Amino acid sequence: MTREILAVALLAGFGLATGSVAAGPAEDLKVYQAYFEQHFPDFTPEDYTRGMYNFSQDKRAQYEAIMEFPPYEMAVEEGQELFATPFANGNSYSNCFENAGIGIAQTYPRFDAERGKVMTLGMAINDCRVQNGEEPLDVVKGPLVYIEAYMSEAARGKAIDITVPDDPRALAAYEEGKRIYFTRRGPRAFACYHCHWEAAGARIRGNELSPARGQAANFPAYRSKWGEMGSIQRRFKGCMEEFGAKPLKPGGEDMANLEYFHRRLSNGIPLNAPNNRF
Amino acid sequence: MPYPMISKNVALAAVFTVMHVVTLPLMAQEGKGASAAATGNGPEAAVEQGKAKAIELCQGCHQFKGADQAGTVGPPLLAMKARFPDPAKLRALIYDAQKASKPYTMMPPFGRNGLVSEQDIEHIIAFLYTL
Repeated sequence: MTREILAVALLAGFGLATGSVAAGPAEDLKVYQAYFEQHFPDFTPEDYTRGMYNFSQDKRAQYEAIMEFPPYEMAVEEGQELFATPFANGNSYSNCFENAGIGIAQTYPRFDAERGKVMTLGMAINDCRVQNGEEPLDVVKGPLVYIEAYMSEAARGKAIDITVPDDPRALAAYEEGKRIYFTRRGPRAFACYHCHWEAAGARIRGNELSPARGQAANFPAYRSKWGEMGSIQRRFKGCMEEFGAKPLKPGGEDMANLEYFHRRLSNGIPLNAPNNRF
Repeated sequence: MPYPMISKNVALAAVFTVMHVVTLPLMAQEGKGASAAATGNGPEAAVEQGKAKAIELCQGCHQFKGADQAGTVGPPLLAMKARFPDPAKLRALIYDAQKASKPYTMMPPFGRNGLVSEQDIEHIIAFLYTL
């Protein structure tokens, strides 16, 4: 499929395209994967996790030098401790997550049939807290993100595996995330699509644009710009703000659906989180 | 108001004159780095003001002479007079590339979404024609 046809289908004629073609999440993923394979034919699954560092030798070298002593390791340790610390009622996070939280981060966000909505890993952590009488935490930074970092470290290398179950509510959440992804926003009228599909690998000013596929395999991440850890929703929010759009609310349903769609774009890519970004 | 529909035959000079009268108060309000040359209304001042706007708004994606942090998303801005002999074409592109070029284009609708004034567009075109 040529770039033009795909772009028209996804942006201009979005409603028409989804209404007239019996496409679903499985067909979508094939089309999306093919798009990136066509544009980056030499990329291995691991290359996708290197994002923008595929396009600048200089930045790649700096990134690799930083990774000799990764800045996220303290967050992983802190997250591990938090995960193991009992709540006031004696329970702990391992009462909420299967396999004591080991090797499962690559399957989030998930559609939760009981609640009828998408649960991100951050939402699942907060849900666990609230079920056990604790206050929910900030979903963009701080302790909740450290727990995400620990759970991600405990699943590093596992292929991202986001499923859309055969449930009309799951499909609706997926489609909503997709609609948000391809919606132009802000005065510059950029959709996520523009920078991270069409212009992936090119530069905006001095910054190489990472391909959408693989981005979600790296979060949570320690960003030098933040000087600390942040969740993928923190990155989404910052991205929208950077080009002058009103950001979606972290922790909200729109963000969850966007994260669901976006992380699914990385299905099959090995989780390489937590990670480090400039 | 569909700005790109303005007659292609409107002389550039006439546009400058009219728009200066209309938008001078606005320009004064913005008052960004207004030098003596940049506040004049001759063709050189237009080029200078256009260059400042191009560096602010165009170099993120386009390479051109005078841009020091140019992006590579869009085509380089070269030989613009030869490639766009009709300023109306450029005007329409800058105003709303979704209409003037491709509906799915990444280029922001600078004029339609108020990122530039109509006078800014004329200045940018004056600068582009020096490239």
